[in-house]
Amino acid sequence: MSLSPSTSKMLSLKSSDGKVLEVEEHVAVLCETIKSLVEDGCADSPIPLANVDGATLGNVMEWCKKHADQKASADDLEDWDAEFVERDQGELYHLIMAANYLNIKGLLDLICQKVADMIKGKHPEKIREIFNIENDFTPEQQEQIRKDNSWAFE
Amino acid sequence: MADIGGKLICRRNDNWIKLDFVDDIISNILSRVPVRSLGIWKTVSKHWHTFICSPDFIGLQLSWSRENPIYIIYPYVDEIMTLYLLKANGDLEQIILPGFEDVPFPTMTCSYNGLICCINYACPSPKVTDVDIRICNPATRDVLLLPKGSPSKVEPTIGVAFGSRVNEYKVFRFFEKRIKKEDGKEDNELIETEVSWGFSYEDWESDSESNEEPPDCEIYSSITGSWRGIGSVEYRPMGYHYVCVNGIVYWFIGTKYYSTIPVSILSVDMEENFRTIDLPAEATEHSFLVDLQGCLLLIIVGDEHDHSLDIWVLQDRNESTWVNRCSSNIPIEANESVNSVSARKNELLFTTSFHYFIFNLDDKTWREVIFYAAGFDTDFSVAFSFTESLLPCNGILGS
Repeated sequence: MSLSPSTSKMLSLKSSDGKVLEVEEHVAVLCETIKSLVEDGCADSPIPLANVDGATLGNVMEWCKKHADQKASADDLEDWDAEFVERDQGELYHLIMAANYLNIKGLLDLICQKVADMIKGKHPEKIREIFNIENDFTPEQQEQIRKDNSWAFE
Repeated sequence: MADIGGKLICRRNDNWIKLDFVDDIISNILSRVPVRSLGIWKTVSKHWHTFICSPDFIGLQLSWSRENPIYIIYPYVDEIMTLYLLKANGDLEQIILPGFEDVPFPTMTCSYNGLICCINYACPSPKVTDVDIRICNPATRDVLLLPKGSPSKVEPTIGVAFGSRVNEYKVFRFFEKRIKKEDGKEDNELIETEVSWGFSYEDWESDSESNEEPPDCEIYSSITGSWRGIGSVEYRPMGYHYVCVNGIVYWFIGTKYYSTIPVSILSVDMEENFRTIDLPAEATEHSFLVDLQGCLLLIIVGDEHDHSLDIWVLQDRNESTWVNRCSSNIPIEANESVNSVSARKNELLFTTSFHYFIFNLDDKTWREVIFYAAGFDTDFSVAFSFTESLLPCNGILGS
């Protein structure tokens, strides 16, 4: 199947909040999930994406469009990506979940790297807050782990 | 047709799969943060603790780290094992390894998967000489002193092979065993080796002249945690300069009387198959073996007044086939010599008597790197490429 830009047709993507986005096929197939539908010939009707809201889908497709552009140089993409990830925590969260759901490795790695850079060095309490995690250790258990890993707390 | 798409999406909505995804994402994020943060975050929750300690995550973190190697620098200072990590952004992080308080002049011999091997001269008795061997993880400050090997008449030489399984390494130790006299008793009149603190080629040369018998070899395995002798071997490596590339250790070997100049290479793989490799050109005293992205590089720096540089790549270990990668001139002063060479991606880091130079292998350009860090003595240091990891020194994963 040829997916070159010149012969690319349009695909309809329907977000969880009912918005329909028309996207060129060669852009949308950067999502492995959509690519396998296209390859199986299952992508004729609007494709329902129950886990991605309209705003996030728009952002994801913006990224796909840039990365489907064969004229973009590696340096150009790097600069563009750096700007693309300058978003608040909420938007990054939705982008990660969407990139994971749509199976776009490049975007997922990009956002994960951004989140890693944001959270490195943060206090465990802050990490629990960001990831909505309950501390299920007793103070004694916690102290023991601190002792066992004293190198990290120096 | 929409049904299939619908089913696919419906299936992915199932909660348990969603939970699975969350763990996937968490491991993707966590594999990209510094090891120190991971140590702290073991206290976040029981799940995170189990997660960060799991062999799968340790492997994932290592594979990310391997794509982003940094340098580890060891300046020669007395008694305290102070190392510096040179971050990609040029920052230096100081690391003081525990357990080296009374260790005289330790030497760092290799760096692989976040583990380094340090040795120091040890003199357990007047008749026997030895080296202490430590496997260390500088990131987690984990240090493992290996058990003693067999007594040796001369200072043993070693090399560490790291296998394809991340927790597996083998230490090869070449030594000269005590000779049994004809009456079966052990010869107590061993040759007194001069007490030499640390290694020098001259010491080895005098030893080798006085001992012409082939050395013995024994192997320490991280899997068994013990030494196992394999009898005598044909060659003895020249000193402590070696490199492990894709599970194979390479050392220089010299001639008996000119052992400061390599004449060939000894190699051994994880299956303990020894093989010698011919050099592609005449080597000098300032020759180095380097791992460049899974290839063995031979780097030959000219003698004192000739700072030419030849870089060879080994293509076939069995046939001793080499390809000349490139040549250049190293921009050092007349009285300066190269201490170490290490590789990271497309560049080589040369540490010299007083400088650090980075040679770009793609455009063949040189640039000097200057560090400013409190207490950092730049002179006479050695550097290795380094991949920060959570690997334990004893090879036991999931503890």
